[in-house]
Amino acid sequence: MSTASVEALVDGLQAIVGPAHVSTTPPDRVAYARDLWPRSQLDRLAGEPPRLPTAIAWPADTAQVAEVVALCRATRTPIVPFGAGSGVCGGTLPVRRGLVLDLKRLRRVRRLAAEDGVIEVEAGHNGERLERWLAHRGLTLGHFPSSILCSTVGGWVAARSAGQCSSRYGKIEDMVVDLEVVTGDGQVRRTPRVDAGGFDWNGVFVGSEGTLGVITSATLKVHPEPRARAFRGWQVPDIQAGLTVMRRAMQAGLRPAVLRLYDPLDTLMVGSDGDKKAGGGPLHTLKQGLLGQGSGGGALRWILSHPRLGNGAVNLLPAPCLLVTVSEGEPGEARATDDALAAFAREVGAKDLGEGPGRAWLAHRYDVSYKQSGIYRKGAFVDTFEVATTWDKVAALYAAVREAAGRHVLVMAHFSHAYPGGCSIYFTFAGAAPDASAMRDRYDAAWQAGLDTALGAGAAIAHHHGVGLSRRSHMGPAHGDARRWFDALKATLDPDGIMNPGKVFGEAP
Amino acid sequence: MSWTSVDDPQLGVCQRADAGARLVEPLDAAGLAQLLGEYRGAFTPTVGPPPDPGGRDRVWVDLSPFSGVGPVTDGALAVQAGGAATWGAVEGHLAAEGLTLGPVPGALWDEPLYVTLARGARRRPSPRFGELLDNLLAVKAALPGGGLTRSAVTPRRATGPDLARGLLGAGHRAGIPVSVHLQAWPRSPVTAWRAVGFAGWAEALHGGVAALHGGARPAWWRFAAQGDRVVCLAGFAGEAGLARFDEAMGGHPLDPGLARALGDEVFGPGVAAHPLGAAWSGPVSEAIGRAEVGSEIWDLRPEGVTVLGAATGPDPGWASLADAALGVLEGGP
Ligand SMILES: Cc1cc2nc3c(=O)[nH]c(=O)nc-3n(C[C@H](O)[C@H](O)[C@H](O)COP(=O)(O)OP(=O)(O)OC[C@H]3O[C@@H](n4cnc5c(N)ncnc54)[C@H](O)[C@@H]3O)c2cc1C
Repeated sequence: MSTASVEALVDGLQAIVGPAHVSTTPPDRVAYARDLWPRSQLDRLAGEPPRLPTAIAWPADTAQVAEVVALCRATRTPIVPFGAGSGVCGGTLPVRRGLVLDLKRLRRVRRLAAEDGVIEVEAGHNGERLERWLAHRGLTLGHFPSSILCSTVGGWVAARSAGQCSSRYGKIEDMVVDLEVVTGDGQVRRTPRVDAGGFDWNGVFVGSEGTLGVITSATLKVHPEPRARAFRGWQVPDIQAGLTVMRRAMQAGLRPAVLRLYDPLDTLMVGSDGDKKAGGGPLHTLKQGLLGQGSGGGALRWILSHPRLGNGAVNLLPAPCLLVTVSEGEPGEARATDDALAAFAREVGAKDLGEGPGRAWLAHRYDVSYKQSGIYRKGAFVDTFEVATTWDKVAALYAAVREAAGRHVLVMAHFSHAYPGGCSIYFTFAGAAPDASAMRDRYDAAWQAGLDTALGAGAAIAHHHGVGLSRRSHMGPAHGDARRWFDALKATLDPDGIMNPGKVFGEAP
Repeated sequence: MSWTSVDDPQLGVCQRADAGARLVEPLDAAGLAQLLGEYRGAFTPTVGPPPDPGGRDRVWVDLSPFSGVGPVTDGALAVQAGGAATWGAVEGHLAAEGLTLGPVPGALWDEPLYVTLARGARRRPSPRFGELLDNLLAVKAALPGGGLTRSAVTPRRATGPDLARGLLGAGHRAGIPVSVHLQAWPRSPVTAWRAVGFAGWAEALHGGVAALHGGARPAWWRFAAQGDRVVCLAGFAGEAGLARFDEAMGGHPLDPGLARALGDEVFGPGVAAHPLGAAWSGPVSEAIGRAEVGSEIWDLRPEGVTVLGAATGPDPGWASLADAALGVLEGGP
């Protein structure tokens, strides 16, 4: 963009949102050139400068968003919608520069209709504040992503988020009743209610990651806060036994809030009481390192630089795993669910560990959120990689991804987000290499191996983190010619291609 | 009507009718995609020869090759069915394996899956087994203008917009599903019935919502006005919160035999009683007013109700957007 066009754009933006709500300062442009995609952290470590947006704007309401989109359309300026930047796939990176549109000033609750079981809330509303606001009124959305403290309603909807209690309340797509969207043509539109029949426009915008329009508000389902909770931990004989409990529970129509099965390494990391208290030795080092705690990186780097050894040692760990369950609702339902889970667990020979693991899980459920960067300072990296598949393939997919990615990184996993047909596997990859560029190669190799393996197994290549840039390469093979349908929607809703270009399927061929 | 057969090795079996309408049967999914590329939307899907072939230039695409059902994936209980299989055929196949889709409304029993998807029907009154759509694990479709979609068989679509849902409610213009995976469930017979009477719609709907919040999950239920009262009839498979239903529902108990008799009529190979397309959906509070005039509630969830016989048409703005996007799709690659 020429200096004159940047000035014209900024003038136009200031006229819409006010001078205080537009920035072109270097610190802001640097801050908005990223999200929490570990790959871009590695780029920075390797000395690669970020691609900076031209400007950042903070609109206050839907009308301003619509005017900004119209301005950008007229000036062919790319727009990257920005919630809280907690995405882990590069979805907010301004790869074609342009405008980052931060939606956090759209944070009103527009309507609560408790008797109709819905709330309409603006897209920039912070997740944790929303839950707190609802809790004061005896309600809950039931959406608790680990990033709840640093993510927004719009980001959840745009990236297909899943909360920790999805087995009871569903993923965000199960919660949407309707959406208000400013599409790439600058029009403000409200989608038909999800139950209206006919064409499913909510299904089009959920997961669109800013490529079709800006979500400005969402009507979501709310529930009475649970009056009772039953916590429990089980030591199951092995992964397969744990998966059997999860599968049988979901196919029996139970709706536990949490079903979370840790693999042997993750079981050790969590501790059999479910509390992340550190023990000693290499495990202690690893645990501290992955949590970004402890001092000195030498031992951690050594462990992570030898993934085959590390993963080989993991194969020697005892097979029993920790399964955490939380049942909630009215007292009768919570009790009945807990009893039924106990019956399934006993059938596979599980040992009852009491309430401790469930309570410890609850106490630590958001621990991961702020502790990512410590590990980079120690010359190592960590990332997560979630996939989903049907029950018949879960164990084999787990083994295959461990095998393929385990050549490059240390791999551990837990199994959660259970449905009658299957569940998600949430892998944690951790690696190290002598320098930043070698780290990047190792990181890329692990991701490539993970994605290839998931695709080859016929699994979904993600479950709730979205596509952004990190999975874009595999979207074509995963969806075949369905890409044409996406391109047709894009051509209609965003005729000038200004909405978050390069993301999800990438540019049209 | 007699069809004379002309084989076209490239396009599958091509037959011509006396009147000039054509009936084209693709051999497989790739053949169907090729056909759709060729005809660019100017065709009508059918299963078997249509009873009335219509005018001279009408092209019928016979989807009979996509009528198969099975196999069922072990563990996941995902049943694969061709797009032209009927709901009844799928349920029949599953019954033989001790499985079920959950209640299939009688109106859908003889309908091929591709027709239901094209109409955008997604609901059924089954808190226990969920909406029809929640049970759709994967769809593979041939697209207008040619090409085949791919989709992992997965409990939730996970990347980008839900392109499988894009097929819904678009008539046949967004493509023809050739293969569908549906969630099946262990078959547990309906073991308990309930009939509850209420003084009016407000009491009935609030009672229903309270029961759901309490954890009750009837396998099916139905709310209908009967004279000066509203009656809820429900069937339960297994325990599924029966005690909590009794606690939370309110109203006054009626003879459960009423529900038992109805279950067989509404679900299974019964009469096509319900105009599933002509329904109004909205919040509970608005439904209370509408249901006074409408006769029956088709589905009740805490966040919304579907009232039969009180339809509102599609939103014209969205309809024209869909039309434009489908136009681009039909234009081909
Ligand atoms: C420590 C940690 C834990 C996490 N745990 C979870 C978890 O448990 N579950 C989970 O689902 N995710 C999790 N995530 C990922 C992330 O928090 C989610 O993807 C979240 O939904 C992103 O929300 P956000 O507001 O930060 O969106 P952003 O990161 O700002 O944006 C994400 C994408 O959505 C687009 N977007 C954002 N807002 C809008 C809008 N209003 N309209 C249109 N497009 C928009 C952006 O352009 C981008 O493509 C975690 C991330 C971290 C760092």
